[in-house]
This record gives sequence, structure tokens and C-alpha cells, in this order.
Amino acid sequence: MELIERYVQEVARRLPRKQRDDVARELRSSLEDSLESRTGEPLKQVDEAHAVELLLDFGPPQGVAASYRTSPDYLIGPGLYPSFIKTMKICLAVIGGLMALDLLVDMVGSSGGLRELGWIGLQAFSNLQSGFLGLLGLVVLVFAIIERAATPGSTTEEEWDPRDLPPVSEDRDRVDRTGQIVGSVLAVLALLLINVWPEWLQVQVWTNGERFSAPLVRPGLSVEVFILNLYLILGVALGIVVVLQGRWNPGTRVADAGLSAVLVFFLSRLWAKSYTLFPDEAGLIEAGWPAEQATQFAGVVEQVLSPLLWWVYLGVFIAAAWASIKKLTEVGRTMFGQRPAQTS
Amino acid sequence: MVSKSTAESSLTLELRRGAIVLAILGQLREPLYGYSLRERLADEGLEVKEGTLYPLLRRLESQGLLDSEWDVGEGRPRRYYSLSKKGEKVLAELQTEWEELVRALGRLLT
Repeated sequence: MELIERYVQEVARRLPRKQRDDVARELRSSLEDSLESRTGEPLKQVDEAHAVELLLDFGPPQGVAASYRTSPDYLIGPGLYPSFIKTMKICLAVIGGLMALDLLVDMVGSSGGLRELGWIGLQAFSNLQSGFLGLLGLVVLVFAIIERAATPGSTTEEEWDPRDLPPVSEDRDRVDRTGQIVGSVLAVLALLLINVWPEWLQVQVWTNGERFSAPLVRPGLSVEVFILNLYLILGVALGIVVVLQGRWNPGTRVADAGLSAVLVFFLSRLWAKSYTLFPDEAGLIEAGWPAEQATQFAGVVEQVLSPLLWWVYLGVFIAAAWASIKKLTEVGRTMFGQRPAQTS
Repeated sequence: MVSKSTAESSLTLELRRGAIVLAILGQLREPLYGYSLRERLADEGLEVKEGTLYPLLRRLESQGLLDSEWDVGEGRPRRYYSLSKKGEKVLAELQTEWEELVRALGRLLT
């Protein structure tokens, strides 16, 4: 009967491919049995009104299909939702801050005319919109992958012993899931910015309604870019592993300490180059900038940005080196069996 | 706010859910296909919606409690379900649990 076929098809198309044919066959057979039994007539002679009645009793196709599915119907489940909201808030704050900084740099670099400032404002608004949507998509994607990669029952259903609960004091092996996810999302964003959307990493200037731009970083840093890419990719991979495992172990601790060492190496190379990182006057003129703006920007770079950057790198370098030493100490503790000290 | 009738039907549904699984496992000591199982349950006073029964059979099978086999001989093809080894063990445990529950509720409700 055509109505039964249409119903079976509507249920089946909502099911995973490998399940589809089998369920459709059983559903068709059951519906036909039911229809014949209700009417007491062979299928070919059954009136369509009876089929309508039967299918109404059976329920809407989407509801029936949903009861067949065993995988979750949601992208992010209740277990991960609080971390998702926290991650979104932190990422939005970071991205919003970076965009505000970018807006400030562009405004300082503009000639000060109302029209230019209007254009800068409009572009900042457009960047904010696309940045927000991109960020939302990326965070949802990362969480949806974690939701599906997590072992079923790994959070609430597994056997547990109350005596194994961590003490009230600091538990150093527990993974800060939100922190790790935020780090991974930002790392993916950085990878996209460096490799897919390098045009976002530009310095811009508006003069007489015309926009001039140049890459924010001088060419010739391929080794540093490679090290940064490596650091970010390995960082994302490690982030996903530790979020899924929930606790640090010797292997992930060694990997984390190794990554910190890579970061320290990268920062040391950048520190040495901080005075030659931004484009100079000749580079800006070569990129098509008017001479006046190029001289002005090069002056700001030489007198403000480069010295500032030198100190920033020094600070970040010391922080990264300190973090690296702490992580190595933690590796030693974990590997040689000494329990981390608990603060009471 | 949930109306009384909706709340009542939701509670009834919840109460019946576990009992239906137990009844299905109990009937599948011998192989039955979906429609015949539904008829059997209905004859004993336990009506189960078809849209509920078939997905439930699949879930019980994916949990390893049921085995299934297609009969594609003469007439309409039918999928026969029967209790697996694991299903037999689980049924015995559930039956004990059910009997204890009935005794306890009998004392609590009188």
C-alpha cells in the first residue's frame, strides 16, 4: 500500500544508513500485519482510511525514528553544557579584547577624519559579527566532537568508590576541562589565522577614504611560523586527549612539559627578533603605502611598539620558562611515585 | 504548568515502562515477531503502542538481551526475536526484583 510505503520511507530516511533497510523491512511487515488484523481483509482490499487510522496510532515518523536512534540527538549534552558556556564566555572575552585592540590600533593609524573613523567602526562591527559566528561554530564543533568521542557512561554510570574521591584540597592530577577546551579553541583560531586567513593579520591605514594594508609581520620568519604551527597542533591534540581522559598521567605530563619547552624555544627566537618583526618604512612603501603614513607608522613601531614588544616577550618568556620548570617537576613527582603535596 | 491529566499520564507511562521490558523478556523465551508479541501482550491486558514496541525490541537487542533472525520463507518476511543467554540471566534477576517490589508495595499500599 502506497501510504504505508510513504510512512516507512519517512521513518527510514531519518535513521543511520546501516540501520535503514533492516528497520524499514520490519516496520513495513509489522504495519501490514497490523492493518490486515484490524480490518480482517487482505492488504490489497484495505481502505486507505484504515491505514490513516493505523499510522496515526503509530505516531509521527520523526518520533518513531527518534526512538530507534541510539546515538545522542543533541550536539552538546548536559554533562558538557556548563563547560561549553564557560568556554564561550572566556573565548568571547579574549576575542572581544583582541578586536578592541585592533580597532584602537586602526584608529590611531587613521588620519582622524570622521569618514575614515566611520569606515573603521563599520569594519570593526562586521569583524565582530563574523568573528562571533566563527567562534560559535568552532566551539560547538569542538564540543560536539568531545561529546561523541567520550565513552558512554564514563561520567556518571561507571562504578566508583566514595573513598577514591579527591581530597578537599587541591587535586593536581584533575584536568581543568574548561581551561583545556578554551586553550584548544584559541589554538585552532590561531592556526586558522596564521594559515587560512593571514589577511586578518594586517596593519591598515586609511587616507582620503582609501585603505592601505601590509602584513603585520615581516616576511622571512618561516622557521618561527613552522615552530608555532607545530606547537599549536600538538597543543590541540594534547588538549583533546587530556579532556577525554579527565586526569593527567605521566605520558600526558611529559608531552605537556615538552610542549612548554617548544614554546620557550619559540619565544626565545621571537625575542631576539622583536626589533625587526614589524614591517619597516621601506617595506610599507613597497606594499603600496603613502610615504607619509609609512614614515609615521615606522616611527610608532621604532619608538613604541618594538620596545614594548621586547618587554612583553621578556615577561612571557620568563612565565613560560617558569611554567615549563614547574611541569618538569610535576613529571618527576608523578614518575617517581611521590604523591603531589596536598594543601590543607 | 502541567495539567493534571498530562502529569497523570506521564506517571502512568513511567510506571509501565520497566514493567513492559520485563513482560517482553518474559514472553520471548520462545521466538516471536513484533506483531505477534504485541498481540500476546494485548491478550494478557498489557497494551503497548506499536511505535514504542519495535524500537524497544531493537534497543534490547543492541544491549545483547535479545537475538533476532529474519524468516523470509513463504509470505511476509518477519523478524523473530528471542531471549539471548544474557537476556535469560537478566530476566531471572529482574523477575526476583519485581517480586520483591510487588511484596514491598503490597505492604506499603495497604
